[in-house]
Amino acid sequence: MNTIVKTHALTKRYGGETVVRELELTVPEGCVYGFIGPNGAGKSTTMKMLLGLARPSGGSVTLLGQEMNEKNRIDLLRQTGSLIESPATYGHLTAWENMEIVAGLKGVSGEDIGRVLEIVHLSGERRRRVREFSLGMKQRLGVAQALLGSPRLLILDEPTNGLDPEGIREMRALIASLPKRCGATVLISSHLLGELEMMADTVGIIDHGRLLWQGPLEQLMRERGGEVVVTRRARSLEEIFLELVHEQEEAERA
Amino acid sequence: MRRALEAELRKGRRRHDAAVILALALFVVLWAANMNMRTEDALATGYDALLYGLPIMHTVVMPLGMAVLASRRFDMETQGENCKLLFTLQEPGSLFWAKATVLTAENALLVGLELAGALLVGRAKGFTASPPAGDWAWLAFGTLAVNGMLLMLFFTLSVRGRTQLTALGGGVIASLLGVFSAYMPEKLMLLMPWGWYVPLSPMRMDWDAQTRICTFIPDARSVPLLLCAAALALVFGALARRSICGREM
Repeated sequence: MNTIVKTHALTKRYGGETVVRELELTVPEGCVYGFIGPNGAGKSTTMKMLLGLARPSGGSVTLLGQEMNEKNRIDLLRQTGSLIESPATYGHLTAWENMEIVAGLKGVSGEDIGRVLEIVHLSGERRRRVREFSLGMKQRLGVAQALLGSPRLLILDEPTNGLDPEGIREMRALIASLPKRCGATVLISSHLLGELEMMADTVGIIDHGRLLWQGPLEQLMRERGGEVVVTRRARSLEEIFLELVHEQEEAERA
Repeated sequence: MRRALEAELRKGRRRHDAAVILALALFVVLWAANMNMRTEDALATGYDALLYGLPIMHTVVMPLGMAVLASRRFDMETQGENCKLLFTLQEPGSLFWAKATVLTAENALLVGLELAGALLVGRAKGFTASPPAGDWAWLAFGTLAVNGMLLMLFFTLSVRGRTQLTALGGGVIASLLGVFSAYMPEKLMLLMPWGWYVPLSPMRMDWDAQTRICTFIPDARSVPLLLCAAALALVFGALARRSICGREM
């Protein structure tokens, strides 16, 4: 299987504090990779480094088979879509006009705008100004921006932030369908473990900047999930995550 | 660069930026129209009076005007936290150049409109002498250069500040100080770049207290000062570019 994202010893320091420590991330092509960790674990910082929005203090990022540098960054990112923390929009413009800006910069035709707005169920709102949108609608518009140009890789940082349960359910269904629907690999971060458990088939668990575990979700659940009890495992992903973090803390203390 | 400029122009939809420029130009033109010139002598030296008076008006209006234009240009990115998306679609440097190009065009439009408006005021009032083309061209260049310097300064403040109030506050202070600097000795005026409209003016006034006669005399055109203003515009522009390119999300 091809690797679409690979990091080698990726490190980020802010002043004296190391927020990401020698990360060896491997994201296989065609999966939904759940990047799990509590607030402040280094998820957003890692994703920003993958997109070149933050400069690594050490290590490297290989995206779509090429090591990313200043010269090829934009060319590589043209095959990538992203939504970091909150959607980036111009409130005074309509949804369609916001999409035109992104499409123009990506070199993508206007026809693609209609297609992606249809995917995120915003076709009917295309002439409405974004400042009138609810948070859920803005998040969906952010996903639509990321989908323009049929990217090979989607990087979504906490895309369900601020959404109500219905919005979370809709976003979850949308994200889970993207690999089959659009052929994209999805790298998604969240601290909502229950949600990721339902979307991801591969996970990476990070805490205090360190990658504690990564691999197929099924393997993690098999190794640590306990016996299958009726129709659900004895322990959930959330419980396993807490156990891994606790083990790491114990190891650091020892 | 073409894509960046097209995107920048698209962002301007429904923001009424042209209305802001028109309002600034109209303010200056109306101020000029309010100058008291009814006597035959006054009408004969009307254009000279405008060449003397407009730079003084500029010291009051332009610093705040430039702060408004510059802060509006970057505020749209700050409000929507758009740089984190834009920097995945374009080089940060191209974002700077697109914004600087639009700001320069806005500067040119503003100066063109207000000087054209001032010439029309002269026509409407019935000034008898012809407007001296060389002096009006020099006024245009001087205003463009000082405006450009202030635009880039306030643009840098907008990029670096967490809120647009930094740039706007700077504009208010510069306008207030500009009022005072306009009446200071020339050597002191040179220490206040935001007030260089007056030392760059093509006209000075000689007021004889005894005869109470006011005479307008063409002033020496200070090419070094004009070049200084242009150089500062480039320096602040480089600072603004560096601020955008060095921005980490």
